[in-house]
Amino acid sequence: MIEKEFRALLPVWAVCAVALLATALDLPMPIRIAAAGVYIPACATLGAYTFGHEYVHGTMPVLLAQPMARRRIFLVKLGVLALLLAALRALLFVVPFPEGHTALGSLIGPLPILSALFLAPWLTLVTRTPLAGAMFSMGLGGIVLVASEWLAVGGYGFTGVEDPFKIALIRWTMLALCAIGAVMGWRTFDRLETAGGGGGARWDASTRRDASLARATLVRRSPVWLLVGKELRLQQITFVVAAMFVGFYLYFALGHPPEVDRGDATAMIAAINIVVSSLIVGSLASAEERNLGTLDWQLLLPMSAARQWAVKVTVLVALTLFMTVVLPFVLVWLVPPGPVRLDRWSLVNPAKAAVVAMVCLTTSLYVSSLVSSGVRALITALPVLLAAITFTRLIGTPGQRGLEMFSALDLATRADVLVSVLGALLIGVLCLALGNHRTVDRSWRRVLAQAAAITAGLAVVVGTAQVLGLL
Amino acid sequence: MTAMDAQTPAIEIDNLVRRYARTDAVNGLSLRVAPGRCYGFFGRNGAGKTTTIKCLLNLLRPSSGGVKVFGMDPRRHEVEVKSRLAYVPDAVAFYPWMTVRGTLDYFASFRRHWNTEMERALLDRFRLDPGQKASHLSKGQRTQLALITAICPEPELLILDEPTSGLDPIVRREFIQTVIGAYQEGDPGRRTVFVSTHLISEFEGLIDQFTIIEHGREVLSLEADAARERFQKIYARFAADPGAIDLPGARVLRQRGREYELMVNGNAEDVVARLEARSPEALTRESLSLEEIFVATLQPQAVSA
Repeated sequence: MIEKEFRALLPVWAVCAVALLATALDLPMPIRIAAAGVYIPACATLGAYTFGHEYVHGTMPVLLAQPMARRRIFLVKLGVLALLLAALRALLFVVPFPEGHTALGSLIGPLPILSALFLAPWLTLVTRTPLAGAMFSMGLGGIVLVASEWLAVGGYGFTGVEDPFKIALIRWTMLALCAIGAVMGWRTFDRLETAGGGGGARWDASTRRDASLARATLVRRSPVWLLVGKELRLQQITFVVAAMFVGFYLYFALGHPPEVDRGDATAMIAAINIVVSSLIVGSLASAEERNLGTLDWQLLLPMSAARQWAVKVTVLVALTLFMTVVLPFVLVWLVPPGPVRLDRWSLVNPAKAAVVAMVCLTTSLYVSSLVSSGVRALITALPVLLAAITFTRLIGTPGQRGLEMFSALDLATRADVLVSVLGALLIGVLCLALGNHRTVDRSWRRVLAQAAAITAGLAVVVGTAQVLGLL
Repeated sequence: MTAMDAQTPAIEIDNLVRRYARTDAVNGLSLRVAPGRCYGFFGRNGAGKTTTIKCLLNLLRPSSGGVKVFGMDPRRHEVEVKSRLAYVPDAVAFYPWMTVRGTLDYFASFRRHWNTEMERALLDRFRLDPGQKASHLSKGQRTQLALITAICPEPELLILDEPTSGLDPIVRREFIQTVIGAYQEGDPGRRTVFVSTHLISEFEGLIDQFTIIEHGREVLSLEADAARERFQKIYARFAADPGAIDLPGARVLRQRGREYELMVNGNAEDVVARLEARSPEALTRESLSLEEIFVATLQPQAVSA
């Protein structure tokens, strides 16, 4: 039992650990911050995956049927989780993590661990999907953060981010929530039912019987619009993330008085949103259909797999651009964060945001086409992305002038050329992902051949950037 | 249906090989399924049945060899092939947010033809509530819904991979005899059923032809009637112990005193003639069921008297 739990959680833990250790590498600052930011979702994912992997693999009924008391199963699972969380916490001592420099920072170490131990498992048991469990547990933390800020500012006025009342409020509210999560988690597990076999019921906002659809007559609709609707339904968690982003943005934009600079904070939130949202959108797209068990018959409907894929990619690109470009700029327009200095974070420039989002989306969609669940895709996509960035840093030499023959071109033209080459690579990766999506073949030989091709394509992009003098 | 279509096999598998790493899941399999037939595809767990079906459906690429459906390469003529077939997998799942009605609407929207009367009749027969969420259906109910989605478009080829594993015996019998039978009789000579199942006895009356595979290779392919003619059980009772009888090619299932029970594979007439030469008191012969033929082919020692 203990060995099984370690085997189930170790891949997730290893991915999170690699991402955390990447902060010590010589990577661009936004990437290092994003990697450091992995700690909180890493804890939440580990917590959610403790029970979530049983749902992902459809093993919950088998687990509950074992001749072992549920109390013991619950304690073993939490024990293994606690060990892995402690090991993850230990890694924070060897990476340049901002913990300890501020009072708020001192909460970053322990609170995600407590939340992962008690809130994430409970919420996963309630929603029956690890992704929702992880997202909701982080969202709950975010709500506490925002509410504490508002209460502190409302009660005592703005006194700076080190407001002791706010810190105490966050600490005690989270501890109370974790205590409730511990009790409810155990009660939920103790009374857990797994009707319907393997995966159990999935998280769905409206699982009751829908009387309005209990008609007898057939209604035909446009297959393309049905596919669009299906893709958006697969992205339910993405909309939760969008709500979280809006909440955090409003927290930073409205929580402080106008004289305080909020540009950095809001821009950082927007930058994190670009990476996180686009990774989630891509991760869910293909793998969740496989996880639901619907992919085979979906592909066998009389519409070409390539056309189905084109609809999927179009919806994903539109959704990603909405989440990463349109939404942040609508928010900035509606609720300006005081003295906006978005130029500090060049990442949130619309064009650059779109390029970064498309790279993240393509990466996660490719990974999603190879794995069997959205959670696995998400936790694999991040290190894949970090590996790709590290590879470009290794083979490229930043700051060098390009070839003489291209020096006559202006910067915009050279950037267009580079984006075109990158675009071609992304389209190539999407074609490979289509090949993976439409087949059940997951042989290592196939994946390695694809990885080699993508690496070669990446080298071409870096080489192009080098000769254009854009690296 | 044109004369060309009538001659074109619904399924044509030619020396199919499919490898997973070092394992040959399918190893040189060949078979042809004529239109209008109910074709049984039998084999033990891990014999390569599902892999073969996935190759047919273009969900897996053959390592070598080829597959054709209606004379077309399912990869090159993807939509044409998919428009003419329906598939019921062994593990059925639907989008959890859809109701039964929504699921049927979804499938029907992709099809040119959808028999709404049949849909209504099957919903009633299976007692499925159109307003029920797909995520709340039992395994058997999901299978029933999958069968409705497969049959209502009235495809020319129905591919069933363990279609009845989740059904209760009453629904299973009704489904096989009534639904599949009625489906084929709706357009005899044109509608083909290709069924992979372990519940061979349930399909006994429907199967026209079958192939048994083992380790990805064909072990036996026969017309069902020819198989019943070939595999027979013979019972003989003599007035006195006949002693040793030379019965080449027959396998003695039981010999107790004056009684003999034998199984023959293709040489029934010769064995019967040899037994008759000993003037038995009683001599009966009966065909083996397809399930018994399956067991006799793959594990002869397991055939009981």
